[in-house]
Amino acid sequence: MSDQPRISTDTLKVLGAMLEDPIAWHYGLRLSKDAGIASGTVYPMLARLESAGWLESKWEEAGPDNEGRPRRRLYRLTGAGERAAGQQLDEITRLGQRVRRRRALGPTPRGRLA
Amino acid sequence: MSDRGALVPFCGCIAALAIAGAVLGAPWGYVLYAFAGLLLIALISEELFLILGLGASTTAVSGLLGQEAMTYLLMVGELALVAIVIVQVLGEAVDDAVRGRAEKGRQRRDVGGIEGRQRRRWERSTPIGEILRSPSQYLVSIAVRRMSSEIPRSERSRWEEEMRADVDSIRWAPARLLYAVGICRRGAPALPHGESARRDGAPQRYS
Repeated sequence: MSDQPRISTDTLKVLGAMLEDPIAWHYGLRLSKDAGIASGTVYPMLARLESAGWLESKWEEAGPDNEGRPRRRLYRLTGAGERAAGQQLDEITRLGQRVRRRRALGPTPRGRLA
Repeated sequence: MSDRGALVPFCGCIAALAIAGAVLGAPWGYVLYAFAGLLLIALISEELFLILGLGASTTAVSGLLGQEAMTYLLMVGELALVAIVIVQVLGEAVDDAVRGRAEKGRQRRDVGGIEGRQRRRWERSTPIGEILRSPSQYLVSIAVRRMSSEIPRSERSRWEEEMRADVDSIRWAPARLLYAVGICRRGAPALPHGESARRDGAPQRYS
């Protein structure tokens, strides 16, 4: 497992989509649509997350549901990935709450240190 | 019916062919073949063309552009489409010569039942042939070539197969093409720590 992968807004969107059903297997096209990110972004991201050990992948198994079309590459969060993704999203959520509380107090005069 | 009003059936026919092809997920080349067929009918049999209800439209076009321009338009359009057909046929012929009919036949046969079909690899083809058969899959080929300097050779086929499968899942041709354009624009998956490929040409190890 390598170091923590670079976490971007799009990465958070994908992790959020996968955390909605952590044990389910997802594929690139579906993640691109569910997370609302560009197709060119999703594959490099999946590569980074898999390399970091956050995701595991496998080829789709042949069956009547997928007969007649190419097999897909499926991804799922690992245990470590699920924990790490949860921590990332919790951190973003806390940051958002802090920002909202600060904004609720009103604007800070320009030039004054916070 | 005014001259411009008579254009509606003609343009509508072409638009309907294009929409039907897109909805059905047909390669755009087949839509062009249908258009070529219409033009061929117009050149060969004016009576049949009139029976199809397109005569009034072409008369309107002639009225707008002039008879001479209309003739040139039909001729250039037909030549262009014939050229496309020839190039595609040549593309298929080159594919067969390079890869061998036996190999293509083996890939198309139902080897091993469902599992055999699922393990079928997408065929590489000549660029022109691949573009005409499936522009979206050709764009995937470009994306994979862009990856070649940044991922190990052992991983390349996996990424190619994965992206081709996802692209193939999209039934509506314009959406499929847009998805493939997105993949091609961003190109290669980055290495884990944002490192670029070594300049001496050897691919960085993807660990």
